[in-house]
Amino acid sequence: MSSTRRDFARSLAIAGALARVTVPLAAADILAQTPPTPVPPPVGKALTEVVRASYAQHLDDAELARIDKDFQDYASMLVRFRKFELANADEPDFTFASLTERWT
Amino acid sequence: MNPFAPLAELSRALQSRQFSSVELTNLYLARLEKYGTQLGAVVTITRERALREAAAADAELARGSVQNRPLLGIPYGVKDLLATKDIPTTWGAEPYRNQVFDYDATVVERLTNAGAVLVAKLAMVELAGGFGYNNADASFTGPGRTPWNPEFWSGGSSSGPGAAVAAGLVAFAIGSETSGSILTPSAFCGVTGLRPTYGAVSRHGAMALCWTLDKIGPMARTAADCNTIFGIIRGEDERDPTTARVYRSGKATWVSSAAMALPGNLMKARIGLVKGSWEQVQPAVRANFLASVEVLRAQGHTVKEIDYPDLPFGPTVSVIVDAEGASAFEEILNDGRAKQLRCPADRIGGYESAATLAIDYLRAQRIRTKIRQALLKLFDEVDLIVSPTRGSIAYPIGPNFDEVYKDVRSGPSVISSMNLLGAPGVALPNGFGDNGLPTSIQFNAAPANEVLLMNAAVNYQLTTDHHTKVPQGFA
Repeated sequence: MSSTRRDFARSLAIAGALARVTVPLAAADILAQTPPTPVPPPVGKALTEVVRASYAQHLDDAELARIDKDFQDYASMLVRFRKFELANADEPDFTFASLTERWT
Repeated sequence: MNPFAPLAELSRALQSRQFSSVELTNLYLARLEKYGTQLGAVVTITRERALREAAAADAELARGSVQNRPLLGIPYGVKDLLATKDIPTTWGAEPYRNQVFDYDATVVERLTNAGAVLVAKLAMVELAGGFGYNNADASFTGPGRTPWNPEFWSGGSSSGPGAAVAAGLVAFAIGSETSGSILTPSAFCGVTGLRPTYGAVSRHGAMALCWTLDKIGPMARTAADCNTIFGIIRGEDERDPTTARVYRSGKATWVSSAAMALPGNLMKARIGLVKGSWEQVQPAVRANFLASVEVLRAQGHTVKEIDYPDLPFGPTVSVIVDAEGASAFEEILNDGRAKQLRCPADRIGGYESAATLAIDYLRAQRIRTKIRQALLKLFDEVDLIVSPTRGSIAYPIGPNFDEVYKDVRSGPSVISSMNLLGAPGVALPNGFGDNGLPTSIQFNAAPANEVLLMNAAVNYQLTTDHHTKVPQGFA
């Protein structure tokens, strides 16, 4: 399950960057049951399916519907965030340190 | 005995044997019993430990061991996300209601060594708000209530520390902030709260919500008190590597509150007022802010308006907290115990966070670098960045947060941005608004510059009296 989800997340991320989401659902078994969709679904829908595939046993339909709506709102919030220009060498604000002391 | 007295006054009274630590502790224990539950401020009253520590403090006071021990015999409470040996540490959340650690958090350890007396584990928003709560009722202890008007929220996520200090249930408290959790309850409860530099105070033994944002800090009646407490709890700790980065830089220093308050010791600062942060807030918040600015000007600070960088502070904090929070609480997401949380938004919020894309998290941390650069550049122009702490008074208990104060526009998110920078900030009461509720002003300084920050705060309170007000019904 986890490798499937990770593969999916990676494909989603790449697809998102290209504004061309082609993988609609999360888990391989769900993928197998679903015919290819001609129109790509919104990223929010796809993320809902990630949650469904990973945690369906803990969430009912009403909660999944709420999650779906939240993801749509969230995607709107992240539009500017995702458009923020970064250059190849712009590093994240934490760095790996090979020489830190041994902490107990 | 005055339960609202500042620390220096309590300490003097203890040292001159006007009353004993046991007597003072019993006063606060009685007040915690009487008011703690009705304010939703208390999880556990630590009576046995408190009386043991108070008796030990009295023995030290009798021996005259009081040199440089400003907290000896002083009762305090901690937000219930700090581990305390053999006492439940619930993180405000039903899934952890029976959790007990066999050690004290470093902060508690340092306060114990300083002779302070732990009287209570104080209420908090469940999991420090990491799963996206949208209502005051988000803790298994119920909503925290501000003593100024219990129909309104005490703020979050350090809701208990805010209410307990404001109502005189403890002499001071320890809270934590990931993005606003010390400053907001300080504002809504009319107390003074210090968010230290990221890494200035050890987080060993504290619940982790977000490793790259979490900070521990004091909440008290005065800036002088906060600075005194900070002097005790700050410092390097080998069990929290983030502290090494602060203290081995050699930049982080500390000066006593008494020295800061001496005539002639005001450090005149270049103050930047954040444009857009006060123009469209509630009228009383705006009026009180402008009056506070006049106080700063009269003290000799240089005051000017500044354009704040236009960067995506809110979404960046949100993505970082989502990703790190979902990882920190992966266990209760996987086993379904997240569904035991009080606030409906929290019951599903963690599952949403768990779907955060790795590329978004890394993007957020890369944008954070840009944010840090922009804000540090701003600190080349000014020494302190100042704005209203919150654009409104406290939210009413009942409606969701997004259903009230819809006309308030607080401008740039100073709290989010300063937390992304890891900069220290202090919230100071500066008057009252509608419904008898307090308003607040925040000062922020560059990382590791608590001396300048607290010097300005201590001296501000030397010429104002907002911090001396006491809520009716709790005197």
